[in-house]
Amino acid sequence: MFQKVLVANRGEIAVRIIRSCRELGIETVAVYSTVDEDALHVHLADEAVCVGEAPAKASYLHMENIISAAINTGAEAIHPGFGFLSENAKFAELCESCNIAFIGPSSQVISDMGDKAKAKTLMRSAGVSIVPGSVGEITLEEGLALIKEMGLPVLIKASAGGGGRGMRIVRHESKFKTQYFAAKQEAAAAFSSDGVYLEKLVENPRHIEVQILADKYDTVLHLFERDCSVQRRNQKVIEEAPSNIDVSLRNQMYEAAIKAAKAVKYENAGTVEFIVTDNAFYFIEMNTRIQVEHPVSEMITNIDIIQEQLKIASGMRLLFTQESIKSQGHAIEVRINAENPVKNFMPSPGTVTFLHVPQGPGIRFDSMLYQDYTVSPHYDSMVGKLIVHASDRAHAISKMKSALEELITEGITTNQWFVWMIMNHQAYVEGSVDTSFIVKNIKKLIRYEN
Amino acid sequence: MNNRELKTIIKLFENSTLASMKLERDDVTIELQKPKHSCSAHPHQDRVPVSSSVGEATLTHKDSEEKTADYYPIKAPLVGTFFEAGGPDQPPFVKENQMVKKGETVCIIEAMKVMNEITAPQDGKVMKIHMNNGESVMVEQVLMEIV
Repeated sequence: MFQKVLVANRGEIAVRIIRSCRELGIETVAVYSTVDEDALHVHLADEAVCVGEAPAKASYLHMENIISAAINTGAEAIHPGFGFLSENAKFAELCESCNIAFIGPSSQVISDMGDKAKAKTLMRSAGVSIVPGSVGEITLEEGLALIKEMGLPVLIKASAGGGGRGMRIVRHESKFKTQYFAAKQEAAAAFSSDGVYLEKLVENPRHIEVQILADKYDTVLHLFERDCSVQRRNQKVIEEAPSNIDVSLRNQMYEAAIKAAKAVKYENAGTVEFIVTDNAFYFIEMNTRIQVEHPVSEMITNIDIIQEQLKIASGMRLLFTQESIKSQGHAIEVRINAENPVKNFMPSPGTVTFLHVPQGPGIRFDSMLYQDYTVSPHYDSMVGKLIVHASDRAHAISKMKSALEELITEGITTNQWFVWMIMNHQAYVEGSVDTSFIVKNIKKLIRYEN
Repeated sequence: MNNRELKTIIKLFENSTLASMKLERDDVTIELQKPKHSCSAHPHQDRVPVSSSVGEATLTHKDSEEKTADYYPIKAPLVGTFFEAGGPDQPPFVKENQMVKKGETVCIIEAMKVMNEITAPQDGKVMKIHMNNGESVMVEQVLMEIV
């Protein structure tokens, strides 16, 4: 096992990783930007190194500074968390060349899966069902020919994309040309690569993903699925496990996810994302890192995924079999963001003047907040994740409502009452929502006072 | 009186229509006074008990408002980074002496990875832009003035 690990991240995930390291007796090194001197992860780590100024590209995305911090402090491994450098193949490669273990898959796998068009091609050849569409990137002429063949509507997506950028829906053939160039332009601006590919648009699907763990010895296991259909602008808002989709379909998805991981010789924790519509599922992408919503899988399986990541990267074997992993009860996670849904989700950075965190059996709050902490405007608005675990979904919803009612974060506005409204919405309670839920119900969901 | 009670009193005062208030309890006396114009470039000042610095800040603000009575200030609704254009290679949304229409984007304030478009509250001419590209802004800070 590693003696010392550097955590190349900030916020709640850095805190979460440091805690898992401490439990395993691993020393930790935090990195921070000049405005994060008082951040919780800096205080919790055994050592902390300032790696640059506030803008992420000058600090948390500054590869050389982070690698230097690891070398200078004698860290043997780097955990990248999510966001920032977590899916940056060049960074993983840099770690590899400096003999620092990158806690995640190889740079080659990150690169292959990060190129969304290439990932689809790989999955198609591995026999995993994918949304009908182009094979790799397309030219305008190829796109026009393809829409004649497979029909409209279609989605134009950036090969290097993510987060909905460089994405365009085309419903009429006459609009294809302008949308094609608009997507290319947006992709070039956001990802410095203008390659786009085409996909048949599956309208209002459910978003279901399978958590994978794979060690260095070809053992690939799944930790069941998560339903992440409650989204706003392609950002997940609520995640839960298990999903309520048909059991035989779920089993097929587990098989497909394991097949996908094996096809690319995947190592460490990863997530295979699918969209589900009617009785079919299609691969959309593989996330080669820990995900924000990993706690719901931890709650139902009682497995600490971060600890497993550390063990796998240090060369240990997975100590359980697929049969020994049981799914128990129901877990729900809501993302607590410093934003005001009533004012069009306007960011709300500021100082938390009073903090009260809900507690009790089956309640978990993964967060970097503490009283008098100042939420910086420089980074993501997520300030915590409230997670509940109960015997079944109905009890989990009750527990979540009660926990949300107890949470106090004076000084900043959060989306806590917005997610509370979702917990009370009939469609959500019935478990019948798809990815269009928030956009269709937004007026009703923001009918509350902060 | 503990901090919690003090916070509650301040909060009640902030939410009330009172301009000032004096409270004596046991051996503690607190005096609270709201600035005549909420000046959020100093966000903490309307929370603390009255002191001479609040008076000064209020006065300065009042003076500048009097001088610019004909101008309409566009203020920052949130903390963040000011951007004059939609991208590094793009021209600024507006320049000084340019006419703008109500609802037209005049700048962007980036906060928490979200680009918040700031729009003109009324038709007019941009008289003065107070910010430089990439500069940090506070809530209610005057970004530009239109007339």
